[in-house]
Amino acid sequence: MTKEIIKRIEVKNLSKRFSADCKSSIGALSMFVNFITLKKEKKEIVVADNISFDVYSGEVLGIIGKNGAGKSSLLRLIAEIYKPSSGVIKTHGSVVYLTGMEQGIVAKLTMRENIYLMGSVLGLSQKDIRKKFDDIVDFSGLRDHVDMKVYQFSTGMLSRLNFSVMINCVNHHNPDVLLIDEVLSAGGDADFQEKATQKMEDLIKGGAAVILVSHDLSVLKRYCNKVLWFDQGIIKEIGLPNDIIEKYHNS
Amino acid sequence: MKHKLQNILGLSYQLAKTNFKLRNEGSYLGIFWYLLEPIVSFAVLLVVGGILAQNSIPYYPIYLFIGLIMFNFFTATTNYSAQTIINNGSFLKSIKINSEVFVISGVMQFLFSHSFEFVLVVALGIFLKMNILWFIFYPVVLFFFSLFIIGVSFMLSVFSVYVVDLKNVWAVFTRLLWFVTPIFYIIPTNSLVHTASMLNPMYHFINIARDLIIFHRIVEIRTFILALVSSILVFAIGLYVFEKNKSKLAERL
Repeated sequence: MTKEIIKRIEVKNLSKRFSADCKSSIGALSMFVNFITLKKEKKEIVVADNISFDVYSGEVLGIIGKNGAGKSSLLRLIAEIYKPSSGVIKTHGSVVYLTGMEQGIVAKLTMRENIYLMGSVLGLSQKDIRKKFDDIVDFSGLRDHVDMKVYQFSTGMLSRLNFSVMINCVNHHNPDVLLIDEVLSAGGDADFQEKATQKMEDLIKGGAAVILVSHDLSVLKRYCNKVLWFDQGIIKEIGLPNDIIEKYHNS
Repeated sequence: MKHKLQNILGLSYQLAKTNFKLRNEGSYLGIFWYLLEPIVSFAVLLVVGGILAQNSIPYYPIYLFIGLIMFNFFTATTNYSAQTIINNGSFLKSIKINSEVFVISGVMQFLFSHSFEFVLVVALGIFLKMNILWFIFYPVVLFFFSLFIIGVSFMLSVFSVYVVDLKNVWAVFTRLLWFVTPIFYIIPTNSLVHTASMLNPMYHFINIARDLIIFHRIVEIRTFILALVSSILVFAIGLYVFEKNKSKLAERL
């Protein structure tokens, strides 16, 4: 490929703190009581503490770290779902954030209606979905069930539907920045898995700047050029996949 | 900007359509179940307020029905908005989406059902041999009324994220408001209640609609303009509050 290399993601001195107030203190009545008694309970969670890194087009950056290390929050910050407390995040081009979308499926609707609904939520116009519709159905291999209500689907069929819609809609957006949060395995049977993995691979290798969050170390070894070890809001280490993964594994 | 507005309205429409369908159990016969509720309350109140109380309001059934459906539109939409952001929290966290759609789609959804109810009012008007020409002015009132409701909805949806039990508080509040708004009764002028009602926006909107449809006149021009201006103002404030806070909503869910 003769594509020039562009800096797609730029993170500079990024910090993010969440104020974690106890759930019990945000009701109307308890707020009032706390206000009267001047009681204040506030805790802070730091999910990113003065971190900086860049990702260029064509690069695949893997992120590893324990549960609760702040990996997903970091992706959400880059996707502009969260606002940083301080620091700068710049992305160039279209950004797609991929995460489990199972909650988007409505059980009482048919598969056809679900495809239209999820497509619109993922930012496609009705016309675009109509164009993509056959691709989605063919890829899922559920042609016979298009007008069946989704609550009668098996778990495997649901993941097929979910993955097919997602991958086709993402491809439509032709992302320059791709943020993948633990959605590499598509579910479903071996046939579908293989097909899905192939699609995912095409997507990852399509030239976008990719950030991949996964606990599957073999996957990270396979795709990434660089791995970032994230721990309690700081970058513990960043470097070549094999080195970092070994260190992480041994810790 | 224009593109974004188109996106928001398009997606809102899709969501509203889906929700409407779901609420009606997926069939058009389901609309009957939905309309049953307002019809039953109408029938009960007609007996209580119209026949038992012997009041002298002309076209009392229309008077009652308009008040009822307008108030229902307000209650249903705002109560929905007081929980929509929380209910769609997982969406907001997993994709970058214009969060306005969750509020706008709610308003649209209830606007659909409101339109069906209004058709019933027109049918009733024909049945009572009214001059139904005046019904065509209702959409103007409805437009400003909707602006008002959208404004309130925007504010509620933001506050609901900060105050978890807002939906309960709001449900009680709207119930109270239902009783102080003259829906099935008429407020005697020159009473204290009447003065207090001047502060109740629902009173004004319902009054304007009734005056147009039943009495074929526009209320005092001062009141009329005040209602229009304040609905635009409420809309603007609601939008402002929402836009100011929307980037902070996802992380609070």
